[in-house]
Amino acid sequence: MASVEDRLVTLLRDNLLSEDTEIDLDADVSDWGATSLSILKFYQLLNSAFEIEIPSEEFCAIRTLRGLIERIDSELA
Amino acid sequence: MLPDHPTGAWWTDALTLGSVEITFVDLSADHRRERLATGLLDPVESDRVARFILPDAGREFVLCRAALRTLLCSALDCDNTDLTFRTERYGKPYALVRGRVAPVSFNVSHSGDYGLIAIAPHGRVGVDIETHDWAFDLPARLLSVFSARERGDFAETRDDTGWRLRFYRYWTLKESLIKGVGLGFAMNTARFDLPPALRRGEADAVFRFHDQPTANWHLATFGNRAFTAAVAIDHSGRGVAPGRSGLSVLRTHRHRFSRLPAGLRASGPAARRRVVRHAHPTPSP
Repeated sequence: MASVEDRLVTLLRDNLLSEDTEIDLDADVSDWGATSLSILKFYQLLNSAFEIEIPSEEFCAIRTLRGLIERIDSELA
Repeated sequence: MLPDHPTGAWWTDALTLGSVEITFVDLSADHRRERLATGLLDPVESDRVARFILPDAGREFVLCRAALRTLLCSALDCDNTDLTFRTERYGKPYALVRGRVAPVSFNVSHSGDYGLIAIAPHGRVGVDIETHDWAFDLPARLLSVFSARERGDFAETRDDTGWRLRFYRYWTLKESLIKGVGLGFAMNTARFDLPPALRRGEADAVFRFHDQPTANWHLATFGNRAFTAAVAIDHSGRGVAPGRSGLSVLRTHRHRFSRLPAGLRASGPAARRRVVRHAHPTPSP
């Protein structure tokens, strides 16, 4: 089964980023330049794809993809 | 050099609500403007632009931030090089002049080719603009950001166009509010209802959080075929009252919005404004 990181990157490339975007797991998500509606949509997709429910206030506090992966890992553990 | 010549500006006055000035910014691709705008940014901002990974994000930020810088320099009577920005805990930016917190509130939003800047001499302010993208997938699960009453409104909206317009309207109103408060998505937008008047389709209304009954937020919505926008203003007892001058201003400007096509063009520079100085409000999370 694909890792959380692989699934997350696939979700991002399918819905928010282009296929050839270089993804830095430690980059601050505010540096993506995504619109609020795109982020909202991604947040909902994320919860749906992993069948989890990260509270929005916690989601907002996560600054990097690595942090998000760790948060998803803890939900799935 | 600031682009203060009428033909050089890519922003235009859009709306005045009491003491709050709202400005449209044209974010369409224009290399000359982008070059000029880039020259107005400080090194911190330029570094940030270099880190953006989404297409168009850099251009949108550069054009919006340069417009904001010019408007704030005018309002605060300072030089562009005196101006820097920082962000509060949840990302809301605020301005400093020569290292001191500037006595002004502002908020910025952008979507597609449209940007919106609100500048208030006091109180808190939030804005949001969303370009109408009819191809953008708006799955029903997104409705979880709305309250049960609001979701009920969607259940009664049968046609796709009406559903989407309601979504943009409710979403921009809610986002302008959470941006005005300064908490952004850290606030659960499903936990409060938009005022009934706005849900019925009126242009503006007063909103109060249950736990902050003394803060009167003036919520207003406006737009045209191409976009929906909203502004939230916490006047703290000052400024325009909904249903009075605020609504009349909105009616006056509807004609202006109807003349703003998808390819918005700036008509000239914003007038030099005087801003009453006040302490910068820092919302508690």
